[in-house]
Amino acid sequence: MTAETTMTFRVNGRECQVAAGPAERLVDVLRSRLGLTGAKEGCSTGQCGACTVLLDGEPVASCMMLAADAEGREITTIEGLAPPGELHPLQQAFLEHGAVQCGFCTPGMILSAKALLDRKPHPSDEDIARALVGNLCRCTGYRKICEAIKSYARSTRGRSKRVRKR
Amino acid sequence: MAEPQMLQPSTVREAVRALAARGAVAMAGATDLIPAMRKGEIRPRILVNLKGIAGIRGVKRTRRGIWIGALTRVADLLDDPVIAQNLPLLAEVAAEFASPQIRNLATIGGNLCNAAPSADLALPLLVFDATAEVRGRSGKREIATSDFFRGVNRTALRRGEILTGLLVPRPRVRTGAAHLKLGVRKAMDLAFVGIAAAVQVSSDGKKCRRARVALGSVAPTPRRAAKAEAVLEGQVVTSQLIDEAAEAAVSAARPVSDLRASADYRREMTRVLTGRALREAFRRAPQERPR
Amino acid sequence: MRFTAVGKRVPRLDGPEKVAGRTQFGADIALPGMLWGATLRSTHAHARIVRVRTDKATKMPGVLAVITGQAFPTSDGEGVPVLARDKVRFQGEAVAAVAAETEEQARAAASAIEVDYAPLPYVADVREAMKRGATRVHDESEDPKHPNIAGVAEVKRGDVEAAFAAADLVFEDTFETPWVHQGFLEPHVSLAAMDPASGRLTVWTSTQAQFNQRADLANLLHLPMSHIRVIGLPVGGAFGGKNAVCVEPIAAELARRAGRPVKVVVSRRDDFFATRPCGASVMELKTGVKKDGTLVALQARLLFDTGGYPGAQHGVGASLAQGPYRVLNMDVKSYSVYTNRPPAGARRALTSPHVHFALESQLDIIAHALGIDPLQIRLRNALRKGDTALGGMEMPYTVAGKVIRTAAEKAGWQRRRRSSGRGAKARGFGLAAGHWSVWAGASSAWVQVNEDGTISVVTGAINLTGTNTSFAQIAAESFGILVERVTVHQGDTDTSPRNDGSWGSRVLFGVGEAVRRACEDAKRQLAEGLSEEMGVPADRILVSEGQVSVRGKAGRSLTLAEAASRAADYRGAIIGRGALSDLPFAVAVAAQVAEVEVDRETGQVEVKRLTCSQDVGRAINPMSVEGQVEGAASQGIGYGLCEEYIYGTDGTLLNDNFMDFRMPTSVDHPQYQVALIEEGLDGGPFGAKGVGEPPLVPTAAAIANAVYDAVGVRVKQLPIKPESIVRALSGGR
Repeated sequence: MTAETTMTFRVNGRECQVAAGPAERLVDVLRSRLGLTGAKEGCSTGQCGACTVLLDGEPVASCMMLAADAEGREITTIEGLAPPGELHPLQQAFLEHGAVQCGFCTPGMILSAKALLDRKPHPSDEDIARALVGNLCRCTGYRKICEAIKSYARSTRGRSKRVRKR
Repeated sequence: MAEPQMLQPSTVREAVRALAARGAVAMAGATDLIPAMRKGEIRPRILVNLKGIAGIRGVKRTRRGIWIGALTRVADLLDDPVIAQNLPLLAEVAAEFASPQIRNLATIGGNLCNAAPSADLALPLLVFDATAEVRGRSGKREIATSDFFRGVNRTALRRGEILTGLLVPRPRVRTGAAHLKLGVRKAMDLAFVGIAAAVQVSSDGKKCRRARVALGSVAPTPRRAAKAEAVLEGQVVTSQLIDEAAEAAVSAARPVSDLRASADYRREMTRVLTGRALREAFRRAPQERPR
Repeated sequence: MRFTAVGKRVPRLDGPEKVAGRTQFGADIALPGMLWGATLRSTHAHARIVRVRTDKATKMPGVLAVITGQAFPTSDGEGVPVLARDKVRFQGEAVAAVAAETEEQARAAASAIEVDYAPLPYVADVREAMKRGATRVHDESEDPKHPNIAGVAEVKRGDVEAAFAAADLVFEDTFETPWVHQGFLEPHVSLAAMDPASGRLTVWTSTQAQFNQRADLANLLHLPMSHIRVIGLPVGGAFGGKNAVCVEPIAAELARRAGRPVKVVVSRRDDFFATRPCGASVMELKTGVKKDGTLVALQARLLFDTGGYPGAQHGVGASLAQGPYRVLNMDVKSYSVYTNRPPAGARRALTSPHVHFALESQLDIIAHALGIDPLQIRLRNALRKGDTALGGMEMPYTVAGKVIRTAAEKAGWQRRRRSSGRGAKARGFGLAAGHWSVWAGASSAWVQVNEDGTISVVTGAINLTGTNTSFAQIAAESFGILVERVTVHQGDTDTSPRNDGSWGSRVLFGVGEAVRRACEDAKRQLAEGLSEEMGVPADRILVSEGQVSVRGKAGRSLTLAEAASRAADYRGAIIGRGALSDLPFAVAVAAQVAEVEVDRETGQVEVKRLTCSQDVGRAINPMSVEGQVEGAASQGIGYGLCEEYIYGTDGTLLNDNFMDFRMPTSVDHPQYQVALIEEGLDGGPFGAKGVGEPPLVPTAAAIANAVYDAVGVRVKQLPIKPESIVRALSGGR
């Protein structure tokens, strides 16, 4: 076995130093070494999106990336989307629109949506669907997920149009 | 399985030297490499991580055309202003490439060097006569993209050579281009057939001055359909001519039957999609006059 | 009746932790000293095991235990060995397993186990397997003529021959469906630990049926049931694929031998070919009709591929063969057939999507041949009250026609126009219906009224679809309190009342009714406890709207909190009990209209709109019911258009990943329209019945019928491949 090397990156706003093998994947470092189990491993081949995290704000499949390649970069996992004990309004929208069933795809799905909305705060239906092609969901049929994202986008359009939530 | 040793060269020269070692494998976005390593299909002794190399990333305008660094991520092709202005087809293909999660990791060089029969990005490069810029121990050389692919997962790169960039001549005036791919799902599918076409029309818009047709997933490598191109060039464009070209494209297909589609279907779809891609390319031609 | 909690769109109670990524699935859990387990799986579809050598593996670094088929002399409750003993019967069958310090060490050691196989010819197709002289999957088979029949079921009714003789027309068609994976995103995973002092085993696992797991584990490990605690974890999707034991016994046996906890995470690849996917089928239907479209006779031969080991497909398939229609003369023979494929498991409405693909496609063929509107032929034959259904039971009410009509109306069936569309694109509409029987099984719940007036519900039912949220609504409704005042706890086998598995769409129907009855029981106990103090007989004490009051006497009421703490003083804790197995079958009918666009030149099919109607009895939580309908329909689109196992000529699975086993993505879903029909006539809580499975039943047939409507091509084999459409349009070949 090759010796572990130390890598440094920011995770959810905090600087992290981790010792890991050179060929260790980011998903392994996040889950096993940092205890951030919100990224799920569903396929190990970058096809299901359950392990999605944000790298400098962009979604990546953390099972398809070596941790060493995250050196010096900013990683956001689902755990870092809102302060402890709070939900980000996007998470709240997923909850309220029935966009969550088994919950296994949910962290990755929310992060893909977050990256889209950060780039494009008011996406079209097509934009939303296309942003999620790398996140499989077997439970919902996707409609409620897209609705949750749309509703969140609408709610950020300014107070006058703010939709009251039940 | 022993963990491979990881090398992080910061120059092309270092990378080339590192790759000369036995069991050394070049790594860029790693989206093809990681699953292959986990499956045990590739067991590198040394991983040469190219991502730290300066100067082979990004898109530039040069005197010879548009230069795209091999380490440019697929995602970067989507919203690069130079690509948008000069090679919008490449951006279109990039937008349909796998998923955002993969596009943010995978590089154009990696996609080409992996040399899958279905390599999406190869098709627009083939129709725009792009050249691969290669560096090895004996220096620099250039390989036409039409000579770059040598077989399934095989390229013209020699041991120790790396792809550093792609040079794409600026498309000529009155050129239109289109790309189509056919799968079962609308996304995340390895295509049964992929077709790109680029055509240049005469100033009155009636004749085809130059034509390029490239086929993906229907042969061991992405490849040009020279006969289809010959049918079109110098001729007055009619619906019948396009049908003839589409028919001619089939002769360049060497499809196999596999789990995704039968060879017969692939041949038939080569014809259908070539016809469609050509029609769309001609439709786009007059509007897409580069300034 | 006006409800205050039932019928509300309540977000899932477990939702906040799911959106926060805090839900701990099996792979997320670790115990101190935990080892990793890995399995060695057969590379052959069929082979005799000559020898298994483990000595090399045992000596590898980090290895603490190695087991082979000898570790499990008995097979599981479904007849599947945990580790193959004499012979492997499918590619991917587990042969040996290892526990080691790290996952890599475990995997390396597993692959260092040497197995000598003597390969045998294999059989991969049910028709081949039914032939005389076919390769035997099980040597000990008793039927020499048909050695591969694993099970037979028959449904006979009326006089089929006479009815065929009297029929105006007789149609004969054969339909085929493929092997598919259920498609859950969380691969199988289990963690086991045995306390060395007490010998008690605890297993944490992603399962639909923790009590069945406990019974199976007791059997397989030769442990008293009282020594086993199974803790059902949050499940990252199951759809029938997590009904049976998978790696639980392996983790448990390794833990027992190693004396340390062991976790086994199944890889996606192994989950594809080595767990219990949904089996293929070949269905031959012969149907007699009158000119007006009345069905008079049905003869069917159904062959369900059950893979290498026994399954329950034949019985269920036979009972569903008539569809939601009145068929007076029937002769259905249904078989589960052994092949060298993985043992077939359940998948959302076991066999019903298969059978209805055949039946509803043929009904469409008949309608077109007779020149009758596909809607009208279905309405004419739809089951009514008093008709015999499900292989024997009597329909308690009439609803099928309404469900079918609703789907058609909502989809604009009468206004539909087949249009040639743009260029090569053609549009078409297809209608299909389907049914499913919901059996409550053994269902139970405890309900405690706490001294602050809140309610705690405890069940042992695994919460897959959000049933816990519906239980909270049921309890809130029963007591007339806010849903927020109810907590629902999914207990484990030590801490909750026994329940059957979360399958068959039974949980809301059966366990929900148990919760309701437990609430009523708790209310009765409250009344009894307070009778003396309130000076009235218990039957005059009323618990409603969060109050305890005396019937007919205004002003003398207690809050639920007051009542609970006082009653507890007299009687101890107020714990209501609901346990039942007496509910009759409920028949759930679903109908769908698919609107598709077909590319005549490429054969590509796109589902543009899917209109779903369903008889749900009562939508306790309409948001969650819609979620079930849309999710099932999406699975149906996959079944109809893109999902199938593709095997190589050596009997190994070629598409063991999500790129080549294509499930619909976010850009493949259509516009959904959902209509829920709430007649509330069954014995479920507030009239509710099972909703999760029926909406998968008609989808594939609706798409097939729409494809026919669009381009005139009848596809009788799923999935409907672009290639087959193109071939048919170009005149065969």
